[in-house]
Amino acid sequence: MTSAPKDKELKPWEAYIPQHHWRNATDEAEGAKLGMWLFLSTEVLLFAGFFCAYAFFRLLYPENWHDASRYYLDWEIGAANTAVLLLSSFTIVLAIRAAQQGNRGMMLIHLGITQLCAAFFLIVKLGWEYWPKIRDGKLPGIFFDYPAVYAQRAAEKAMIVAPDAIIPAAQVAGDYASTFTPGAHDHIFLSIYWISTATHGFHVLVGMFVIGWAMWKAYKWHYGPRHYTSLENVGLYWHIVDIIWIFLFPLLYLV
Amino acid sequence: MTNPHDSIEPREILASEEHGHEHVHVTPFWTMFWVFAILLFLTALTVWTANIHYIPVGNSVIEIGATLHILIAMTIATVKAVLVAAYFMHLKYDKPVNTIVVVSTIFGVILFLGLTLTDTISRGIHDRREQGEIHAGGDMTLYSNPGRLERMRAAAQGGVEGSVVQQSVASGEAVVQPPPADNENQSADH
Repeated sequence: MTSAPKDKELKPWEAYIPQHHWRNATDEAEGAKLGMWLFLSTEVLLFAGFFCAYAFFRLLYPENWHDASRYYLDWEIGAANTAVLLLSSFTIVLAIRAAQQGNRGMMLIHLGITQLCAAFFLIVKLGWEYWPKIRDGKLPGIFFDYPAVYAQRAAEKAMIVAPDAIIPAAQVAGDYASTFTPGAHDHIFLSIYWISTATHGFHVLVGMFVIGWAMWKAYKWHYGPRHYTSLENVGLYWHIVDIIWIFLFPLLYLV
Repeated sequence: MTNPHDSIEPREILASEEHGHEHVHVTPFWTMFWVFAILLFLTALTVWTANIHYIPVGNSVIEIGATLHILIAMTIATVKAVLVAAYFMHLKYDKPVNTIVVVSTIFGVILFLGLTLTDTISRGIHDRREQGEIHAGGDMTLYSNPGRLERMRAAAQGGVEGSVVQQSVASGEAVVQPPPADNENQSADH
């Protein structure tokens, strides 16, 4: 034996054989995808509960919800995150395309871009949305404290301006307060905002882990034209996270 | 050895000849690129339409209320979701079984949302009926006869002398008679 065993020269995706209970690899791949779709349907139903709560309370307090969306959320942040998630969906499609072409480099690059987009989404969500909201008391249910925080700020601002005696302190406080009118049910809006976006954000975090796992498998030559089933399933999961955000964004931030 | 695919080892025959991804559908780049571009455009469109509240038509304006805003935004979001599912998630190219799963899920969501919302919406009507604002037989008489609702309320609360309702109650007009039973037809049917 002068040459090395043939199996040593095959990359994992070339040497891949389906599990013995499958007739062939096509059946295995399609079975795995069907299983993934069934899992995704449960994910959709999970979020349907939040959408249902949203619709229920919106029907009860339509004006309050419209105002709360304007007062508490920045649509610019939501729009930026929507665009980033769409881009990440596109790049993970390109990663699968690269796997189909056997282009490991492009696959890793596109998965890397997807990973960066996911990180961008979470950093924006935590740093520019959640942290200011926690600081300001824009919190769900019984933790909602924004009117008190706002009144305190108005008082502080009045104290700063008052020594100049150009504008009476009371007027400053009044002007400041007139820009915000708390609704009676803001805490319910914020409850649904927090539970739905936090559950979605958790899915993004899980997505980062599974995309990282897919990157490791791609790096180890596990994905190629003849085998990339788990990469496809990671992609499907990532797309459903994107689709859920497509619905959450206009409902919470815009209308 | 030049080409590992020339092997006749059973293990590798399994891995090559019988492998389903031999005739793999390579995702077309430009299709996906344009889908991505359309998705970005639709996102911008959602933001744009959400900030339009009036459309000038000639000398007047059409007001776009909250309900219409929701309908527009949800229509655009549905188009986006369908694009992602059909192209990015490959449903268009897959076997129909995956689409059947998706459609069943959407059916479940519609049941879930629809039954909850019919209850929520009709509760308002129920309350109005309890308060005497709506009566069995339809709203149209109330709308077409302004002031009748107030007169009926007044009559119900003890009566305003000479009101239409009291007169009609006194004269027996307001008593709703059951429709006369059509005995001939019933006997003919059974």
